[in-house]
Amino acid sequence: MRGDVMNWIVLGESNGRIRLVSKSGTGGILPKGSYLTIENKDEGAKFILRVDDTSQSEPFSPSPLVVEMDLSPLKQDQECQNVISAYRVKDISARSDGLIDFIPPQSLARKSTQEEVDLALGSHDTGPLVFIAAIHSSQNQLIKDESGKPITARLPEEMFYHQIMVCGKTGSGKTVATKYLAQYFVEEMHGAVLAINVKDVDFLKMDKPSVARNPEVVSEWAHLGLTSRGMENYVIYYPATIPIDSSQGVSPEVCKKVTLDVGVIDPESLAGLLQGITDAASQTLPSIFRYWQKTGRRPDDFTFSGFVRYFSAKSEDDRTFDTITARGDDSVVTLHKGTCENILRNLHSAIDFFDNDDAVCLDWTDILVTGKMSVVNVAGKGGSQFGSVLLRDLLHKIVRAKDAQTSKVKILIIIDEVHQFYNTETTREALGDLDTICRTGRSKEIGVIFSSQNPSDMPKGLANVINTKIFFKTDASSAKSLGVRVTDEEMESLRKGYAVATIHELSQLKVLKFPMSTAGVFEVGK
Amino acid sequence: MDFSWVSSGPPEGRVTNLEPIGGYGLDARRGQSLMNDPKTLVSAYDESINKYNALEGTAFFTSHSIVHVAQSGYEPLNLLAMYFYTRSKELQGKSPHLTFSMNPSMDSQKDYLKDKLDFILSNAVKNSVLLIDGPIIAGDVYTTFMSSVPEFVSRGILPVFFVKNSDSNMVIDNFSELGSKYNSDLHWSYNALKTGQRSSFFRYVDRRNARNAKVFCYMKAMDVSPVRVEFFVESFEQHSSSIPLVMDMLHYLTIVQGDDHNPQVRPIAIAEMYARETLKLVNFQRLMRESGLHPTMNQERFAW
Repeated sequence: MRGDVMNWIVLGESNGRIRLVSKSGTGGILPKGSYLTIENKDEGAKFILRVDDTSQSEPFSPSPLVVEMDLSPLKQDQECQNVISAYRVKDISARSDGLIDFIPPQSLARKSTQEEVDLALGSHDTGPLVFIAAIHSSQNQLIKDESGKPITARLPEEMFYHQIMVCGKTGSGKTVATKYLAQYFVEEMHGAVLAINVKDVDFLKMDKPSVARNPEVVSEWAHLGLTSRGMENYVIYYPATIPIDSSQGVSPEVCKKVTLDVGVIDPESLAGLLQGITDAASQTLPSIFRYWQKTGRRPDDFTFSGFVRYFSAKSEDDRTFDTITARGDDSVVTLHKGTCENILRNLHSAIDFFDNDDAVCLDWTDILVTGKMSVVNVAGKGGSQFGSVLLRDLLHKIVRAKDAQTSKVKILIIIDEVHQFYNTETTREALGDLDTICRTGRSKEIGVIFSSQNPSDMPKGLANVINTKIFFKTDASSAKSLGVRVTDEEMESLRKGYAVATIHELSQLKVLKFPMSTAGVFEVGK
Repeated sequence: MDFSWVSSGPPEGRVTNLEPIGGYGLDARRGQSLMNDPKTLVSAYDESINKYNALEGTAFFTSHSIVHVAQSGYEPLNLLAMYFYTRSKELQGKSPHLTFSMNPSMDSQKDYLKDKLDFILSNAVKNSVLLIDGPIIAGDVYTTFMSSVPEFVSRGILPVFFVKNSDSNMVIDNFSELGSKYNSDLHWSYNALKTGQRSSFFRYVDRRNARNAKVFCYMKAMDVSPVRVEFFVESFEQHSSSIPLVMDMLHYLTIVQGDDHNPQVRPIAIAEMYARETLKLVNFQRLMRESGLHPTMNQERFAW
């Protein structure tokens, strides 16, 4: 039977790579990304190699003539060998003379065990489990040990606090992977998750157990000891003016209406309302609002509509506005007529999101709760504007709570389609609290997952602070531009759930497959 | 190295045709069926030789190679042998591994043939077809091969010998109507045969020693120079009912090889590959140089 005995013979070293050829009886190609172990029992040494290049070779080079003449070839002629070039990942050696062991030619290599791969990767004791995968000639598959069990790796938990970018086309497995990470953060790390849902019902059914129909998924769950189960402490927050369509299977009992309150909202959050104006101009609105919030408002008209009327009146007048900066300095600013009109237009469209009587106003205490997943649904008309303001407000409040050490709950913030909330041209300065979070996440135990179809959607100011990049099927050039080694063909052939990545503190892991989240994913079909 | 002694024709002999002279069609498809039959056992032999000429003597490094065409794939067996022949008694006295010889050419052929025969007899499979590169009889030393015939027969082995390059004229010299028209038997057979045909079988008997006999024919599997296929007389008689089918199989195996620059049956080509590869296991030239031997001028200039 094929694959009963699988061994590779060391030929030697060339250009820093160990070259190997399969021994007869090895009935296939060991895919790129696999791991091999060579044991030198005499020296008590062990070497673990990662397959970097792999190909088929035909030792007998048969002629095509016999087939051309419609005769059958000799099957003995059809023997193939697997030629491998592998990188030496880990040496386990007792030598202490400062030299590095030779890997003698003609040594036998075999597929590495889980324990050996753990050693090679410097695996952690905790962290979300993923499968190590390989791509070869458009085939995606899990790396398996000699007994056929898939090899896994644990992504380091630290990874969450060094920011993650997840990219992929629709249907590539990006959202499912993000759900898996969110579920791990809540259930295993006992943290809190805040996810911004921007389309469909992507994150709105995490209270329900996933339905797996694909035997591969069932088998993967069995291997990891996972069973389908919904998340327990789970709340969906949605703007009062954009009701959730319950026909899509969202549980009404986990949904709560939210509104924005002009009395407590962070003025800087209003910058999220403005589209199509310069960073500098957009910075004036929070200062104008802060003045109004503190001193300029009429006691009987302390609503967002009241602010819009105030702004409108000033715009009609001399367009000169009193301001209070974030540092508390009083000032005056005169806006261009066009800027006023633009701001006013955006303010009008946001009136509905404020001051709804039957809705609650979200505070950090709602989010920073151990083992809770909060989803803010901003799918629907105007949702991104609402989300943009709410997200800024919540981030500000979370950072403040963390700074003041009022809360010690770890938090993971998942922002889908981040460009809907932060313009791709947004500078580091204009990112405000998001920039603070990204740069100080480790100390504050705040992590962010940016999920996007295209890495170019990421705000410029964030480009250098994301340490983990995970690419599902997407445009190869964008992945390559961010330092991920992948060919166009490999990227094009990635199946759902498979990804290429650079992982914080796990540099050896290049291709991986995420297990399906056990909550909130529903496979259709038989 | 010079292999001309291997392919030179036998001493004068008598040739008779066993069937009407002419072309006989070969059926590759029937040969394919025989080859695919799990009961058919096929092996092949070939060798590769390296020679080193030194002032002190001559070294031969030979890889004898047998390949069994097993169901699971080609199964190779190789014997590596090295001999050093010298006319210096003094030198020979220094090591038991050196051979004193006043006629290194003859003695090397004898050792080579002895190793070849022992290796083949030790590893040939009972009731198999054994394909061997080279002629049955070529020069005086080759007649020793004939002594093994009873053992091949008793074990049901059908040895089939292949001669690709030969200036032999056994056929044209013995049939007066052909004599003046052709340069050699290969010249005659190339013109007489169509692609996919064999010639009639002929029986050759040495006039001086009737024990040196063989049955042969020419096979033109491709539109290039034919090859001579030879059998021991006793083996030919033992397997006479299967011989036509075996010829079909040889035709099929030549097509499998598919090389019109070097037409030969595929298993021999594989045996040759293993012979060449295993010869590389030892860096013979370097070994000779490092052993303190002094190469002849030709060895230095034309070693490779």
